[in-house]
Amino acid sequence: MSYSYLAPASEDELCEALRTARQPMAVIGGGTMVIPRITFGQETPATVLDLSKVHLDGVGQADGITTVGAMTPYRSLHQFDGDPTIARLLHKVALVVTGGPQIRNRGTVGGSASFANPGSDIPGALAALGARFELRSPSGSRTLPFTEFFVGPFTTGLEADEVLVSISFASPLAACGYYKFKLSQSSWPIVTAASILQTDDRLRVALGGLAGRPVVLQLDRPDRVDDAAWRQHVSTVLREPLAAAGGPWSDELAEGSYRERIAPVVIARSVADCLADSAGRQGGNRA
Amino acid sequence: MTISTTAPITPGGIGKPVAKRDGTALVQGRVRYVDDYNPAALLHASVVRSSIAHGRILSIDTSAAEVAPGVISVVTGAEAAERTEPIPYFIDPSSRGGRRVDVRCLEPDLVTYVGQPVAAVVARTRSQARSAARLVTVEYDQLPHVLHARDSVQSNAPRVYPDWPDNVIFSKVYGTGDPDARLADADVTVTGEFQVARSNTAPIEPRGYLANWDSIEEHLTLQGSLQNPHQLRWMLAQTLGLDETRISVQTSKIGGSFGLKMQGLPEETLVCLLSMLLEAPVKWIEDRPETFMSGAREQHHRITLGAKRDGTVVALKNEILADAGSLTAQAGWAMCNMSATTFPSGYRVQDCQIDLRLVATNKPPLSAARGFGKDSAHFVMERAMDLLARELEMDPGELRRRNFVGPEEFPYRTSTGLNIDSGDYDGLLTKAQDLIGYAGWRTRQAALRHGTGTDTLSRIGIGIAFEVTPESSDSPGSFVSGYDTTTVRMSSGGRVTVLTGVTSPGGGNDTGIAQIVSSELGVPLEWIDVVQGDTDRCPNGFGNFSGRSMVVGGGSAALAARDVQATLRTVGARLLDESVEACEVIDGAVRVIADQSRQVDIPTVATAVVQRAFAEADGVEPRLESTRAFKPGNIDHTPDEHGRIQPYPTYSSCAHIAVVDVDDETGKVDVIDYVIAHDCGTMINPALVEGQARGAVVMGLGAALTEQLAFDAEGRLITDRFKTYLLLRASEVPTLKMAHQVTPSPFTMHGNKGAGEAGLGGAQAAIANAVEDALSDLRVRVDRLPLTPPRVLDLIERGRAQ
Repeated sequence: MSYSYLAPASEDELCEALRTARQPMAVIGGGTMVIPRITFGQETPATVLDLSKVHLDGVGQADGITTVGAMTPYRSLHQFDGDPTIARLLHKVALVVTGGPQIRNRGTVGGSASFANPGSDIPGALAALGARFELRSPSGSRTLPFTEFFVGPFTTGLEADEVLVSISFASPLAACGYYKFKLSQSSWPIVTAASILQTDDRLRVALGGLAGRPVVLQLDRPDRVDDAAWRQHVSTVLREPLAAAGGPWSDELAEGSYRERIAPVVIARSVADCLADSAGRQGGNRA
Repeated sequence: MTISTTAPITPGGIGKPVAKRDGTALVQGRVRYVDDYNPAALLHASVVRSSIAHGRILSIDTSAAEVAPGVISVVTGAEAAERTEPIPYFIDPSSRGGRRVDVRCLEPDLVTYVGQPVAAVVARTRSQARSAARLVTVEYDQLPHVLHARDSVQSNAPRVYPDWPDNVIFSKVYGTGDPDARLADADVTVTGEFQVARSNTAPIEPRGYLANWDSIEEHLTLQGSLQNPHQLRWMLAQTLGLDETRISVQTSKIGGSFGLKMQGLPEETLVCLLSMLLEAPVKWIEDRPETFMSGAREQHHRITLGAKRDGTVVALKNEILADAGSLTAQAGWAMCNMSATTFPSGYRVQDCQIDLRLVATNKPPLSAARGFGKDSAHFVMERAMDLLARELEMDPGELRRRNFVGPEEFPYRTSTGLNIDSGDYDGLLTKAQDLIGYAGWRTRQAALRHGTGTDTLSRIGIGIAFEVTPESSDSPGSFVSGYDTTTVRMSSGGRVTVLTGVTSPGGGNDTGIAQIVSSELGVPLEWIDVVQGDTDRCPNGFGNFSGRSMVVGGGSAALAARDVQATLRTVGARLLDESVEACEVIDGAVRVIADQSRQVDIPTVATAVVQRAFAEADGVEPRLESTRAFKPGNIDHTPDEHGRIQPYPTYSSCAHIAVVDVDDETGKVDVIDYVIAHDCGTMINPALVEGQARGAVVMGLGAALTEQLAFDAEGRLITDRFKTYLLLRASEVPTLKMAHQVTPSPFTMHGNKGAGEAGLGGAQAAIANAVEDALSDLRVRVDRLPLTPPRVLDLIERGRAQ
């Protein structure tokens, strides 16, 4: 196994590296996925491109738009506790990323998005936020909506000589909720649901793990999440976007049929968290 | 029941919860595992493994690998077969009326599973060896494969070993009496089919070996993460054609083993062969996906119990179909034998028939695993007892009490021939029920079911399980030996070195053995060093398996310590000018019993033995050293009129109660309360016993809830990492409550019984019983493990559809 290792230290150097890199190229954000894959021979890159020196981390906000650098580690998102707008959903998601301090310190939002594992937290959360993805290649920059970035399982809209540099989304929002179901603590997420209560009082819910790419739906706001009619509404609404995303996803941990069966439950629990968030914040406003 | 020890109570001695002697070093990273040894000019091996489940090797192309960076050598199965003999079986199936095949360190011809070693690459670095191994291409004539035992027994199934008439490795019928007649007379019968999934022992440290052939001395040294150095030395002598005296085997610090590192595995011989061929030190460290190839258990049972209306079980029939995967020279294939023999557990059922068939499939072999088949028997037996309780509408605890062998009935010969030494099973169950608050949980469960109260739980289930675990086995005609040997040696300055034939895979028996020597010899614990796992330094022994280390390592250490103590006492008494009878050895001194102020410290006595052999020590053999073997009672290899032998001296027992909450909507099972009442006779060190029991329970919880090895249709393992093979984490295991009961064994030196395996089967059964209890309104049957959320949700939906 031999490969060239490139560690550009600026965006200019990054462009140069992308231009000269021999393909296939493996891009390392935190390296939590790619390095084990190289170690076990599942990837045999000609070039390893390490983004750690390009300064792509950090969260900023301007004109109602939040921008998250691709190299922002989960740990950085923990600090947004209580922030009413910036990255509130990502904060909730990051809090429940497990795998120990190494993963939370090393694992990055952009790396997880680029790896596009259906059984992971980040793709669904970014889909819920309606995120846009800024990509860099030797020929310049372009931006993709999440629908064109998340193409399928472990597949993104990134070209071979292109990397993700940042993710941006409109700052939310009335309230948000997150729930993920895992078989056990050590399992990948099986189904995740990120919910956002919109200003029109409807809910935008994005599901991860259910299909090969995130599934997004619009739902009526329920009075109670265990209301049978609302549950029926969820199942009905889910059908079309799930089919459009290629149907349920299966892997070593769970069959698609199981994911499909529990998806309405996971949605309901996420929405319950969202409604509690909403109620809490209204309470906070009154106080 | 008497305990044969007369050892005085000493601060660090028998019965004290002394901390593991290497505990601090372990947590501070100040110990050396095999991969920490890097001698000069070390080379690294990587194993090329079969990519197909079944086929003949036509050709192997090593040319690309041979010129890859850093590569020193590539060895194929054909080349290895010229230099090595087949690996001798730890327990030969043909000696038990079964079938065998030659198992080699590299297979030259017929591959029977994906992952079978077919070639090896040696390079300057591990990374280079691994990269080059991927460049070796093997051409096969592919044969049809069979992956499941239920298919393997069909008459038209592909033959895993083409010259066999069928795929059966071993079959046997166990039991006595007339169970058919008793079943015909029974008031009630229940029948259940149960499947135990293939799982893995998953030690933190994978296997690894470092071989060093000294071509000048013509001496081979093998260091490794292994359990049985002396047996391995003998085995290597056979496979490599060397005299045993030309081989040294040393056990490095072991990061968990659980049976996996018992000898008979291909890489042991392979690494030695590579070192001999290249005349250089060669190391091989197993990758995690390789560790996951070893199966720990996989069986199907069809069990029938017959009982009287009052709950008395009158008959048991069980058909076991065990899946061996491919054959192994390691002990793993033999586990099914103990599954059969463990029935009917600690219940008074003399009319039993257990039909066992072990079949080959095109999967990797089983490796010996904690529980050694006994765990699967307990899962099935305890499930069957719960089915019966439900049929009789009887409390599951009460049903068990009506059938337990009573404390006054020991020693008790079971239908399968085991002679249980001692126990109080009713007492254990009472302790467990009291500790968990059994009645309180039943009340809370009833309130939840009736919708009264404001419980936040979804579905409460309570599961009881009992297990009696045969330990410290001796299998005739094999190196599964029920005795062991220890040397106790005192220096002239009074320091003590204990060299023992048993090894510690991480459980801490070295601490326990030091405690025994402290008590028996009469010296402080701190004066004692324990040396294990070195064939050059330690007396012949058998290492670690079957909960034997404290029984026979401890027993032989006690005998040797008493010899040394006798010498010290004799010479010490002379120094004190007293009779031997008037003196005792305690706490590092020889003392006058009647006048504690008169004493001489042991270093002084030891020096006198050595330096004054013709004065104070005149007439005494001046030797502060003894080597003794200890054979426990209660082993009998003479077949009785039913052909039964009695291979196990001690029988630990425990009662488990699990409380679970089942999520109705997802099928997820949360363990919310857990108790184990445990009896391993005298506890040499309660802290070590508890550590072992908790570990066994957690391993059982994993097998019950999350752990399973899965293969695709081509026989490739698809659960080869910890993100697909799921272990429980500490956050999802409740605080395990533990109660102890002590019924000493009359057959061991200190009344202790084997500890360390009990817990695994009971935990599986307790969880299965608890989940079925939680779903009792749905009238569904828990018939397989692990109880993953998809499986439990299936049960719930099936129940609702009925």
